[in-house]
Amino acid sequence: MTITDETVDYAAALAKLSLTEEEREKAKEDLSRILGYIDTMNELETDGVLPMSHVLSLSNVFREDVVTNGEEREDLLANAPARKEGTFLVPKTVE
Amino acid sequence: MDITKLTALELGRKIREGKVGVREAVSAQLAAIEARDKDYNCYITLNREEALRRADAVQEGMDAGRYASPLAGVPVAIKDNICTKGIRTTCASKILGDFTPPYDAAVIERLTAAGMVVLGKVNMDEFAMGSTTETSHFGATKNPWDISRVPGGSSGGAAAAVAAEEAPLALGSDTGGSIRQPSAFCGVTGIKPTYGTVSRYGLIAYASSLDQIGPIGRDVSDCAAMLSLISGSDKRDATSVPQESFDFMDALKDDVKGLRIGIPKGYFSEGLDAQVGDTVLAAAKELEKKGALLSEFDLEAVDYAIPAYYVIASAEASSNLSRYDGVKYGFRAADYGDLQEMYKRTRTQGFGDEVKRRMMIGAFVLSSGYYDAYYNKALKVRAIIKQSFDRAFEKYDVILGPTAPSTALKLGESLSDPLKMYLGDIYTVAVNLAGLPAISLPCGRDKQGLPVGLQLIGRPFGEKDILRAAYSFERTRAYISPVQE
Repeated sequence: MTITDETVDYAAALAKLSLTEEEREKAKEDLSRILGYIDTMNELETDGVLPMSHVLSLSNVFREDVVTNGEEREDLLANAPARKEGTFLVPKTVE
Repeated sequence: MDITKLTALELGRKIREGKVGVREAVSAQLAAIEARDKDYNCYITLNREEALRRADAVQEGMDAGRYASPLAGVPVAIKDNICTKGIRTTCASKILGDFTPPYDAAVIERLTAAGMVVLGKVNMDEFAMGSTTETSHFGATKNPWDISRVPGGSSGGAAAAVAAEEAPLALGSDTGGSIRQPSAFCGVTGIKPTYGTVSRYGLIAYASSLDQIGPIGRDVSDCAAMLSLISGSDKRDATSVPQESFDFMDALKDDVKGLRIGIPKGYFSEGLDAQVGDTVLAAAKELEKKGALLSEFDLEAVDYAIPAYYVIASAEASSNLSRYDGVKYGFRAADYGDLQEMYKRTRTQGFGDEVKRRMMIGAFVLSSGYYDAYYNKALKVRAIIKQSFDRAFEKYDVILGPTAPSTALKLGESLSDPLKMYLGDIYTVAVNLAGLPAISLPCGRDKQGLPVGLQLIGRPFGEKDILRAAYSFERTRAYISPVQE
């Protein structure tokens, strides 16, 4: 697997990170080596094997959709970097 | 009597008998932390005043006969990725800032109800991503056996605190070896429970299909007591599994007669330090002398555990860590224009290099065009590894091997080479992929005097098998402390 500048930029964009020129070079080198090693998985024959996303054979663990918590607005907002009138404050997104 | 040298169960007994007060126990532990932690850096946040206040409240409860747990009154250190109401929880990352959870994790509720006292929050690799505790935003933790060496990771602060007698017991978390490997490097005992045994409610997620919380202590009995306390199903974690009994104390028997122990040949081949291999095999012989039946076998496909692990863990991390956006809690970058720029600057400034690396790998392996070749392939490899263990457990009750390929590394040795660090997880990650329980306990030391870890792996919910084997082996040797007065 050859990692190009475009691939690194794509991965960084998906992860919402910006990289300096130096970081991008380092990331390219690291990702090439790591993905190169990950490619050794291809030696293992997996045709017909079902992908296992989870070890437990649980499915659809349901519960009643009822509110169990109380009024916690103040507690939850206490950690917000910026707040206004009882809500999280973010830059304007709609003109 | 030095209170800080007692095991958690010994201390609990003395507290129950009225020979040691809860405040006295907590004060002694705080004094040890203050004397030693500048050398080791185990703690990120010390819960000093609150721990003393709570000690008095617990004492009152004990005097009134309110606590039945053998660990009532015992102080405990908590890995800093487990939410503690009112105590700053950082995940050893800049991005969480001074985040102070408005709720307790399920495990904290349980140990609080049992009368345990939280001493503070202990150091770790940032977001539990690392095997050395060097990626912490709050500086590296040092190994109490040799401060020029790492304590292992990611629960390095927890293992080092227990070894340095800065806590009798700790809670860590294990996604790919993060309880077992630091326990091995620090000469203490740690258990990674079967996936689903302990509620993950309030554990800050790294890789949700692999993460489990577990105990780190100075002996097997302390770990079994703590595991009994924190296990059990919880509606708030849909992957926690209902079981009839999570009382592990009755497994503590010095009896391995007829216990079938399998030793994977591949675990003793290239890449393993010869002294570690010899020490672990000598431990196996001790169990054989006590009547266990040893045999070697091939654990198929396990060579592909590391690549599959890094694909799956990174993929889940890239999804889980998307929540850190500078809006709801934690750090927000100072200068930004629009919302997108705020996200980007916050995340770029808030996360460390290893976390960024894994989020990028994760985003890449999940992206369209690469999803099948990487993520889906890794899930298939995971299925094959699980089947390979299932077949092994038809023949054996316990699988025995080393915890790590070497003893504790020098600080800085693997930090510059991520791939080298990943390869150090060779004996631990397969257990997480297959959701199995495993314990690491000290089994000797190398020529430099550094502890060697013995790993015992059990079938799903086979904690009692590995506890019995571990307890029996532990009877053959005395605990050695790095703390010499």
